Amino acid sequence: MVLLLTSDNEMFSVAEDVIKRSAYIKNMLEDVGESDLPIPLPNVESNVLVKILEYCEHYRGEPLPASDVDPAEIGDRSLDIADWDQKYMAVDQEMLFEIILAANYLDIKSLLDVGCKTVAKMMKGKSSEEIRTLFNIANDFTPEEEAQIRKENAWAECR
Amino acid sequence: MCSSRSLTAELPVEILLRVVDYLDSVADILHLQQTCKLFDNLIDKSTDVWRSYLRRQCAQHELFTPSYNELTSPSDFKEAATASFRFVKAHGRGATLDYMSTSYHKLELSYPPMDAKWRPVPVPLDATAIWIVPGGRYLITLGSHWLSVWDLKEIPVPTLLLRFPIKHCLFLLYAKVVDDQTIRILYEVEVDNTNPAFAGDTKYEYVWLDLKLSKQKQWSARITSQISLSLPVQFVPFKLSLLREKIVIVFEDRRGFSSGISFLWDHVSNRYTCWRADLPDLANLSQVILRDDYILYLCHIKGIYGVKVPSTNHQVMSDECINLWPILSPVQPDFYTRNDPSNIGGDFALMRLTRSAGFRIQTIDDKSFNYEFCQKQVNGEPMIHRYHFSLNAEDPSKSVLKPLDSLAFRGPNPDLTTLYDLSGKIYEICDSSIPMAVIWTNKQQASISLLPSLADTMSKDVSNPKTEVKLVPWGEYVHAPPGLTEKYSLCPASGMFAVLWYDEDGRWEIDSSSGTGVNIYYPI
Repeated sequence: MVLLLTSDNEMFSVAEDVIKRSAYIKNMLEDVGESDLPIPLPNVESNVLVKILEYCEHYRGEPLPASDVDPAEIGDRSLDIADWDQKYMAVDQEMLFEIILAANYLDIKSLLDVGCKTVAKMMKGKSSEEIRTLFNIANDFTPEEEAQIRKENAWAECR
Repeated sequence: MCSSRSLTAELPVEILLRVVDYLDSVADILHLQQTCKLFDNLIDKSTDVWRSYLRRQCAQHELFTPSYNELTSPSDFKEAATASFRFVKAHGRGATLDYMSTSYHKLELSYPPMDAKWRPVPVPLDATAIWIVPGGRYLITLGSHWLSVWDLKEIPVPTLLLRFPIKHCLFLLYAKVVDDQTIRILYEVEVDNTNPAFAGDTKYEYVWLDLKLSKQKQWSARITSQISLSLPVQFVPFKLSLLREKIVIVFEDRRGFSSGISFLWDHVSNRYTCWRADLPDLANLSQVILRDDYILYLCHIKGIYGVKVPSTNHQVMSDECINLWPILSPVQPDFYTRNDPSNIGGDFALMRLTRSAGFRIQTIDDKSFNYEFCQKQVNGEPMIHRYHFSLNAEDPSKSVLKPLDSLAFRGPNPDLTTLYDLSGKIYEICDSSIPMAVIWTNKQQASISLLPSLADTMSKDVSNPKTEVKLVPWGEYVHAPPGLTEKYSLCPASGMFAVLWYDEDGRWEIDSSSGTGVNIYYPI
C-alpha cells in the first residue's frame, strides 16, 4: 500500500497497482523504493484525489501507456470519449479543471487527455461570446482590437 | 454549467494548448482566438497550433507533408493549414451568390529553357499522365521517356526537380502518398503488340515505382517491381484493387462469352496467381475490392460475390512474360450477398453503360467498409449511392449489405444539363464538410470544355436519405484546343488543378503548336 497526503492533510492508503497509473508516483516509488512515509501532494485536495482514485481504480489492470509516448503526439485526435469516461467527466466545471490539473500534476496522460477532450468538446460549434460565457472568460480586448480580429478572421464566418 | 472560476485563470498555457489541439475545425479555433488576449496570443502568434493542425490535415487527407517543409512564421503555417478551408469558404460565398468566386491563373508547363542539368533544350514536353501530389506543391508527369517531378512553389516558374528514364507510360493507374518522404506509383507501360511473338495475344506490362524525397531534399526514383502478362486478345483490363503489397486486376472478356480473368500479384514477394471467377453476373461487375480474406466482386445491381483470396503460388521470373491462359482455373464464389433491388436508386437502365463510373471505398475496419458508387444518369449528372457492407467472418453468407444514402448532383449550370454529354468524371475528398470536387466535361462536337466544381453539401437535406446537392463551379470553363482530349488531376487541399491535353491519334506526342501539353490552373 502507498500512503498519500493531500493538501488538506487527509491521508489515503492506496494499492500500489492502482496509483501506478500516475507516472509521477510510479517514478517516485521506483526511485525511493519501499517507504512508510506518506507522499505529500500539496497541489491536490482530498475531494479531487477521491475522484482521481475512482479513475485509477476503474482502469486497474489495464496496461499502462508507455511512458515516452504522448497520445496527443501520435495522432489520436478524435473527440470520441469512452462512455465510462464521459459519465466520469460529468462534473461541475470547477471539478473538471481540478481533475485536469491533478492529472497534469500526477502525470496521468490518459486522464489529462480525456479532460482536455471534454473541454474541447464543450467549445465545439460555439461562438466566441458563447465560449466566454461558458468558461467565464473576460473579454479584455478594446472594441477596436476586437473589430480588427473579427475582420482578419471574417473569411471563416460567412459562407 | 457556468462557473465563477475562469478557464484561462485556472489552467496553465500548456494545458490550454492541448485543448486547442483537440479542436478539429478551423472555425472553432478562430472563435476561441477571439475570446480574449490570452487565446489571441496563444493561437495567432504561435506556430504550434497551426503546425499541429496542418499535420492533422495531412494525416487526414493523405497530403504530402514536405509540401509544407519551408514554412516558418505562424502566418505561413496558418495560411497552409487553413488553405482548403478558405478555398471551400470562398467557394461557399460563390455558392450563395451563384457565381464562382475563385480566380485562376493558367500556366503552360514546359521544360526550363536552359537545362544544363538534364539535356539540351528545347525539346517538347514529354507527358502521357499527370498527377498533382496532394498538398499542391509537387507535380508528377510521366511520358514516353521520362518521369519528371516538378516543384510548383515558385509558380509561375516551376522547377524541374527530377527526370528519371522510364519505358513509355500509357496510364497512371495508382498514385499515393505513403509517408512523409515516399510516393508510390503504379503505371501501365505501352507494349508493342505488333510483335509476332504475341500473335493472337495482348501483352500488358505494369510497373511499381517509389519516389523518395530525402532529408537533404533530393528526389530519387526507383522501380520496385514490374510484371508482364500475356492474354488472349479479347481480354482487356477493367478494374483493379489494392491492399498493401497486393493488387488484383480483373480483365473482362470484351466478347462477353466468358467470365473475365482475375489476376493477383504480391509485388513485394513478387508472386502471383490467376483464376476465372465463375460468377453469373460478371458482366455487371462494377468494382473489385481486395480485402484480407476475400476478393469481393461488386455487381452493383445484384450484390457482392466473395472469393477467398487464393495463395500466390507462382514466382515471377525476371524478364518473363507470363502467359495467363494455360494456368487459369475456374473458381466458384464462396458467398453471395444480395442487394435488395429497392436499394438501388437512380436510373439504372444505363448501368451497363456507366458501370465504370467513379468509385470510392472508405474502410471502417478489416471486416466492414462503406462504398460509394457514382452513377451517371441519362442527363449526364452523377448520382452517388453510398452503401455499407460488413462481412460476417464466421458465416460469410450472413454478411450484410445495406444502403446508406443517395445524393443526386445538380449540374452547375441548368442550361447545360441537357447537353449531349455533360458528366462529372472524378470526385475527391476536399474537406470534411465539402466532400467532393468534380470536374465536368462537356463534350460537344469533338470540342471539350472542363468545368471544375465543388459540391455544396450545405444544401444537402440530412434528414432525407435521397437528396439533391448543388454543384457550384469553382473555376472558369477551360476549353480544349480543337480535336484534343484530356486527362486531369486535382488537389482540393490547394484548389489547384492540372490538365493534360493530348491527341489520341497523334499517339500522345506533345507539340505546343497543336495545343497539346500540360496546363496548370492555380487560384490567385
